[in-house]
Amino acid sequence: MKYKKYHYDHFQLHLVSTKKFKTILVKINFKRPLRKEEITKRNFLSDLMIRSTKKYNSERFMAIATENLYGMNFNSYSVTSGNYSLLSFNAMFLDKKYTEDSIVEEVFDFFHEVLFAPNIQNGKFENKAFSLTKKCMRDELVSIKENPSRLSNSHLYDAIDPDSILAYHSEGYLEDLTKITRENLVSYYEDVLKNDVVDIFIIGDVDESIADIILEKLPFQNPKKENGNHYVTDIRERKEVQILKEKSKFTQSRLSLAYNIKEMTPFERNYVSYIYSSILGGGADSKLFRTVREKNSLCYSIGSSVNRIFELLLIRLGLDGKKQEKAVTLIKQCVEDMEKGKFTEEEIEKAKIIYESSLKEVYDNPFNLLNIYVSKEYLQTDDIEKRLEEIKKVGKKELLTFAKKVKLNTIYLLEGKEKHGKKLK
Amino acid sequence: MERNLNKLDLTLYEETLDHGFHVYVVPNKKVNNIYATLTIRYGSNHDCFIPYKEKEKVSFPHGIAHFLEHKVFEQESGEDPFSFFESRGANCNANTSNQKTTYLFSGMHSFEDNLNMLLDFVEEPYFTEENVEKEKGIIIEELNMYKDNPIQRLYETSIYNTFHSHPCRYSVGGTVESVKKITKEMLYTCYHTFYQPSNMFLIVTGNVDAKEVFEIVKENHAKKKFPKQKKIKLETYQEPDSVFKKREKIKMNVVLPKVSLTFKIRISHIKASLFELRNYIYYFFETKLGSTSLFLETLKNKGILNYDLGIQMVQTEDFLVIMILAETKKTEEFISSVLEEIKEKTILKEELERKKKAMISSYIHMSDSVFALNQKIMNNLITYKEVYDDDFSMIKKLNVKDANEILKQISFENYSIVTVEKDEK
Repeated sequence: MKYKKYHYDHFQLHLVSTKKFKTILVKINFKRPLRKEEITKRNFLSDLMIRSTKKYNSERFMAIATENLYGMNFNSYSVTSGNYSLLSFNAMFLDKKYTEDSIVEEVFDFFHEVLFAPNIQNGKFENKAFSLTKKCMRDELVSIKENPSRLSNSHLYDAIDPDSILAYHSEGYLEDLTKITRENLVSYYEDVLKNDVVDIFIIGDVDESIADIILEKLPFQNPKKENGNHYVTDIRERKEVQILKEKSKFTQSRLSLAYNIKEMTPFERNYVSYIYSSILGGGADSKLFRTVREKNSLCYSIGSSVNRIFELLLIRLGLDGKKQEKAVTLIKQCVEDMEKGKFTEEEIEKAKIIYESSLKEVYDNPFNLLNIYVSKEYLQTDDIEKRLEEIKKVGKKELLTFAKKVKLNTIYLLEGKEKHGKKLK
Repeated sequence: MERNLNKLDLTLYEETLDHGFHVYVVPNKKVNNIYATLTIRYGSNHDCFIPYKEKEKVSFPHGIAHFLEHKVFEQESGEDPFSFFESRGANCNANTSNQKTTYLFSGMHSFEDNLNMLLDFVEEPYFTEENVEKEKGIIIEELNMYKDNPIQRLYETSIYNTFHSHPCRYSVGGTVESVKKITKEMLYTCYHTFYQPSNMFLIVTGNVDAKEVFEIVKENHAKKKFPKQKKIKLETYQEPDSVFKKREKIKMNVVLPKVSLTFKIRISHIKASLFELRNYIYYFFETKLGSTSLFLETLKNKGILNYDLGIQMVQTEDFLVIMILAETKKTEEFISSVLEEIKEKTILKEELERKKKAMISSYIHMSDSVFALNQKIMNNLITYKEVYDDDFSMIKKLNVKDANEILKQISFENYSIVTVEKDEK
């Protein structure tokens, strides 16, 4: 396997050449600083651009075209990555050995259609696909209310720091949706093609000659820019813990505890935090799982995770709302135990083995392997070999220093109306 | 015995031990990981049978196979399998469906230890009244989590209403009431009846040596004393062609109304292989109503649908069930459009050929993942009772002449409709 980054005038190419997979993945990312008022438009664009193009002028023709490319999987999405927003177009297809010699060219022809030949007539996006996207996005925005974990996450982020980027709703806003028109979206599309920074990530049995195909098929005019900082370091802290309860129509209650982890060093962020979270709430053998689920039968699922971009530790579980006080006490105790150093060398070693194994597993999966290089580009994380070396340096001392930085910010309960004895049907 | 898996550059090795335990191995030296699954032909469908050492059939509470899956992890020594696997950097899990229960691990180190542990914990569990009682709280929370998922509710109600007596109509997890009735003695009875080596199979995919796997298993089993293998006698069910309930309305916390249309299709009278039947019937619905159909495009243009449909397939001894899931506010128009569309029971050649391209492609993609390949072998064994080594040629052979001949012989007259609507309370 070989990774190399190539700089062109209008894009960067990140090529992971390997004969290991029969699959080829191509990811084309457009990146710009995140602006709240653009989130909805950008999501809209990512959806609309793969609904139809000039040549494949309906969803049906798009689907037929991808089936003809041997069931190529093609998708797009727009996501926030801290201070930045990424608009991403992705293709997964079979190598030429199993398809046709021209498959790579044909896939980039398809990319050309999507990126450079959208279904615009007289300065407006075509109406059918546009209206459908609008309806679907409205549904999507409204239906967050019926998903307990998404709803509770969204409300938790609002609560932690309402004035920060964290509280931006990455799914978009209803009021912004109504402002999008077939005309002003064309301007936004043109603006993206003119001003976003483009990175192309490819993995598979391909060499640098693929660049010639890209240069021929995709006439990018995007600018070159320095990679800015994705990390958001100004999330507010609280002297007094914020406690919020909200009623819902769900059966089960969702409890979340959010902790700030301020002033993490890059080493802590990329390594110590993994080991810490793994011991605390990583899996079925973690402190939280043992204490809250196994010893006290309070929940089915519980886990901790570190949001590295926003410097947060999050603990989440679904439970019977009446049991929340007991759960909070137990969770706080587990976190306190971490600070007091109540964990063993054995637990540290175990967490490291888990980290190493899951990292080595990445070599087996083209998606995950490609993502190592996506994250290297945007978040300055290390490649696999370096990570395997660095993780060895995490010990009790580093964990204790880290544990002191973990400060409770908000406890949020989305309260359900659990009634036992009702038939599940 | 060894067989090449056509087009995948992989070989399947299989062996049946003296007591009827089956082992399947597909080595792949290109990957790091090893994935092992141990499957018992025992799921929620098997809730009435003649228990081991008894003479009469007995019915057990719904959800007992799933409950047993949770409890098999309990060991007399107190050793926790999760912890064992985690300390070796491996993941361990289990799942239950209506046809089988599977225990699994994936990990790249200590394969021999891991495999021995998998065989040991599944083959020697330890239940006490106390650990059975404790599990009830956890499982009830798991059931509550599913209750808040409208698609799951829709699916479970649809299957329940499609069948009169076949146990596939009951949810795999059972109900809060049925779970409360489960005792230690019942668990042991089910365990001894179904967890016999001859009713189990092991599949290992990844970076292993087939010979080594067979040797580990033989050595492990040589140390154990298994009771005499007994043929399992299950209750049989005479299902009529009709559905149990033609229509039902569910009220719950949803923003978008949802509908399912579930066809109960008798297949026991048709002379064709199960592979052909499943594929022709599934692809009939896929070409008629799927993403490349004119039907879907028309319904989207009319504003009846905004999203693609979900098409699911469930199978029993005599029936194939096709469930169409949709989100729509115009339920009646949707239903009548579907019923109209499927009146013409034919597939077009061009469409079937395009679908075949995509099917072949997903078959080949599978070889890039130890998980997908393992799953394929498991699905083959559960659905077809044998492992296919040349899906490529089998797919190639599918043709419209046979398809249309088979489609002529089936009836779409029996269907059940379930709607999920907003609960205004």
